[in-house]
Amino acid sequence: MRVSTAQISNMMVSSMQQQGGELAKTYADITSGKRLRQPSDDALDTVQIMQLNKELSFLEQYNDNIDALDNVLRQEETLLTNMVNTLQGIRETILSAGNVALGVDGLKSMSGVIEKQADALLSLVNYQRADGQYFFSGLKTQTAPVVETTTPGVYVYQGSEDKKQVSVSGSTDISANDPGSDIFFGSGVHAVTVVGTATLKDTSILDLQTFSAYDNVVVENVAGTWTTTATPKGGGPAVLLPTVVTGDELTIAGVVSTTIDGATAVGDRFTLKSVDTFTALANFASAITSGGDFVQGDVLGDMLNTIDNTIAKTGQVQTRVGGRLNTISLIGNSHADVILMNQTLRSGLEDLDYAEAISRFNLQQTALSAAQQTFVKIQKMSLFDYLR
Amino acid sequence: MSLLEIGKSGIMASQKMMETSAHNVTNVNTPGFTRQDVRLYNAPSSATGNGVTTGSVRRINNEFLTSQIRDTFTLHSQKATAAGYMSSLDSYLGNEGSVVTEGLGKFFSAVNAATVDPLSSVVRQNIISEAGSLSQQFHSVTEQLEQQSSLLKEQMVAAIQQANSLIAGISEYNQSIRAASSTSGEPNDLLDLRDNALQELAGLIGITVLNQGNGMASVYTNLGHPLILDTQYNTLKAIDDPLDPNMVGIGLDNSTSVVPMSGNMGGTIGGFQEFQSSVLSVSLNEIGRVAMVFSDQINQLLSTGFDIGDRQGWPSSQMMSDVNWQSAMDRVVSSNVNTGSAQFGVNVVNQASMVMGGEYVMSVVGGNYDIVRSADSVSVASGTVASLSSAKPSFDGMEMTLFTDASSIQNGDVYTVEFPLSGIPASERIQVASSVPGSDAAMLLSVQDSTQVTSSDYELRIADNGGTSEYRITRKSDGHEVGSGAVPTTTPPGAILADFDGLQLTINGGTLNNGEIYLLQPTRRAGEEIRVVNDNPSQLAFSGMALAPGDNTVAKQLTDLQASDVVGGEFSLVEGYTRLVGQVAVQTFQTKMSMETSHSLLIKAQAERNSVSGVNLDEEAMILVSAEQVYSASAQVIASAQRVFNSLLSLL
Repeated sequence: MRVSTAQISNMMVSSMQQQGGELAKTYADITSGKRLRQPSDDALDTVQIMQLNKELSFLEQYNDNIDALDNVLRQEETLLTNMVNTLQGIRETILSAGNVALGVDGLKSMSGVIEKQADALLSLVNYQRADGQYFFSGLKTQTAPVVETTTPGVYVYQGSEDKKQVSVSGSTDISANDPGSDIFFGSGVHAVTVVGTATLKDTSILDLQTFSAYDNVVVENVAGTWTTTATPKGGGPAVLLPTVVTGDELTIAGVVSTTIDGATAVGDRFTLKSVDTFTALANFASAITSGGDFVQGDVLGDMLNTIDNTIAKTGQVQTRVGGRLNTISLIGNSHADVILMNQTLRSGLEDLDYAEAISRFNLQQTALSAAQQTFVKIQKMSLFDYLR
Repeated sequence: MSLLEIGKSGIMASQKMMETSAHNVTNVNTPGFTRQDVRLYNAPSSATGNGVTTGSVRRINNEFLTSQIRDTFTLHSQKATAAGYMSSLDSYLGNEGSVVTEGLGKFFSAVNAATVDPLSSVVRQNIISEAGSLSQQFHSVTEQLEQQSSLLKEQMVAAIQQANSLIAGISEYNQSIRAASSTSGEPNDLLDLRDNALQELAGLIGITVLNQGNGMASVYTNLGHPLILDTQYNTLKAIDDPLDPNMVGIGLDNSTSVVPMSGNMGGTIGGFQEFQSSVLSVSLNEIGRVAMVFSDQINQLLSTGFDIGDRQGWPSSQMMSDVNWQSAMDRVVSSNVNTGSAQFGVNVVNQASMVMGGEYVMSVVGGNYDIVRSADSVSVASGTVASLSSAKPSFDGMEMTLFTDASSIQNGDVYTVEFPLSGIPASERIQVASSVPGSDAAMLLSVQDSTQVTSSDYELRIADNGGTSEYRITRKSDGHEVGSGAVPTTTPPGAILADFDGLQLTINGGTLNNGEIYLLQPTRRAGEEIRVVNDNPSQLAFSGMALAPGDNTVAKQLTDLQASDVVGGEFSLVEGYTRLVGQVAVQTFQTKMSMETSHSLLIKAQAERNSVSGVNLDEEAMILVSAEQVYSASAQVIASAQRVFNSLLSLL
């Protein structure tokens, strides 16, 4: 083939330019440490990297949630521990109030102690975070959960029964709070005779959790059979609870047991009202100062029952919180593994293989300098040089 | 013939050879130069011959190779231009700072923090800020695309001007070549110059060259439009594309009218067209779609929730600008002489009954209000002020809500209700592509279900079918017809033309006439119109139930949004963007590949042409040496003639 002079230099220049360009690209690869500098370098890998980044951002969000939950739940745990300690203190005070040697003055001072301890308990359940939100008022976090009503000594729960759910993985939601009603309300039971002359004594809660779900429980003698109906909290139709009669003792659906004291007739009706710890303590404190120089056995027993129930309920919540902490730590660990795996994958896709890049760089350098030397040699050759 | 004459012919021939060779040598680096040689003939005579005859100087070229260069140059210019634009868009979209996925991730992280602590004002403020910077990212991506679009328009106009001056130049060359060939034979160097100009023109647009017998060249575009016929020529003109007013189209200007040319012109201008139609519009639409779906979904979720003040559906709980209408409260302007302090909002309840281009004035007199449509002074709603707190006045497809107490309205107060078209204006989604005299239709294209919206443009054509006006709506991305039927005869407002792909098209004024073509672009401008309209953190409605400000139900639904397939029902928001990046990357890669292929084709074509027409210095040196030899030999012939003559003389 006939080759023109301009063609020779064009060819060599364009081949040197191409080699120079490749060299520059490899150099940029090496200095940036990245294999991909714009999406079209490898569209598939870029899309995959973006997907991995999306997953990583999901996982990081979950990890943020886990960290935040961990803080909140640990704070709740501390508060619950303090509650249990305070409750133990109250229990001891109540027990010592049973000491017949105390006398009226002794009981008065005991009553004062109990009031102070109840206040301490109240401040724990009404604990506010730095930004003024309440810990134990369900979702009404701007409302104090437990307050004394206008009737002195009667307390109500003002919060909501709901729990805030926080996602810690694609499929797992964890509750971030526990309503105070779970701990202090429905901890005691108070029986009232509505129709008839008999009374109920030794009433005790067998299943705290189920009992808390009812607003009130009505026991009625219908045509000689003791029938129990319960109204669930938050409305809904009343449910019939199976009642087992053993002599004078009634066991209602494994939830409450009670004993009938006195003669009964068809149509007799009793209401079992749930009592909260704070109202019970206020009642107890006023009862021991006005009831004479010693505390009645059943008053003491009911109070102790209520406190024990409260401690049990607190324990249940503590267990739940512990379980949640355990779950989030497990999930957090698994997230960490997946994050590490995704990061490794991503690095494999976008990071440069230095060994390969540097040997490529050397090779391209050699090729370029060879091309340059060849160019110089060929440029020197001209027939005109020999025309003398 | 005499020895002397023979020697002279040799000297003349070798001189001509040396001149031609010198011309070749000096033009060794001239682009487009075609080497020349001298045709030599042996001069015949009776028996011995008459020496050499110097013929014309010949241009050594091959017309096939020249046109091959032009064709490959056209292809290469097109691909190189498109690849340049695509590559810059590609690296911009993949750039970490501008990636919308980054902004989406940050926004959802901020919302995620609210699922743990929905009441914290810091967390809420952060959500608003992140939504703001996400909007900013949408804006800058859109802006970048718009900048590319305006740069492209400028470059296209410049390229067209350049092509026009080349067209004029070529027709002038035609003239000079015709003049020169009639007087002094082949004008070799003029032909070279014309070939150069033709090649330059081929770089700008694809052309076909037909060589006429008289040495003139006729030039047609590859699409068959005549550019140059002998010395007559037409010019090109940048016009609005007849089917898409956003794009630059090209028309053929024959000095009496401009004829639009459809199809890709090839060359640099074809490269602009390629980028404009296949990448730029698609990207703008796709970005707009993600922005639109984001705004709409966030607003929809927030409108179900309760804010810290326990208000549900409070107009300002819309955090992002409404995808159809401006936010409800912005539409009602209270006069600055008002003594009352009432706040109103206006919501669109029935788009089809809206009356185009009107505003309404509500005045309060004697404890009664009266709302009057300004356009025709018709009272559209009235009643007692007290009734406003319970009954919402509704008129022309809108519903007015009082957000404050009725007692905050005073006699003499005046409120103006503006026609609710801003935000992302539903009317600006419609562009008139081709109108007929008397076109006055006012239409609204509103988004009904953002998850069904595609990123395509649509074309609405009105045509006569056996006496009735029919409309036809075509989805441009795949050519599917999405709606058709008779144009409703009811007087607007109140006419729904079509529901398609999550959109609703209504006629709110005027009439549609046969022959009209409209371009519908539901998502084109959404990327620049997305913005945060609520800057009050306590009005973010994160709670799912009344009286429970600590609830996070809606916040959780918001975080779930990032993983749900809301873009076209197939992709999540992030995937919607990632898909665009992937598409652009693949297209860029393909275009770069075809650019490289066309480059090597061009190099090969040039090599082939140069191997025929290029100058080789060694060859020229040889020609010079041999011409020199002939010269001295011929001189010797003359010398011998002289010696012969002398010896004859000396004999006398």
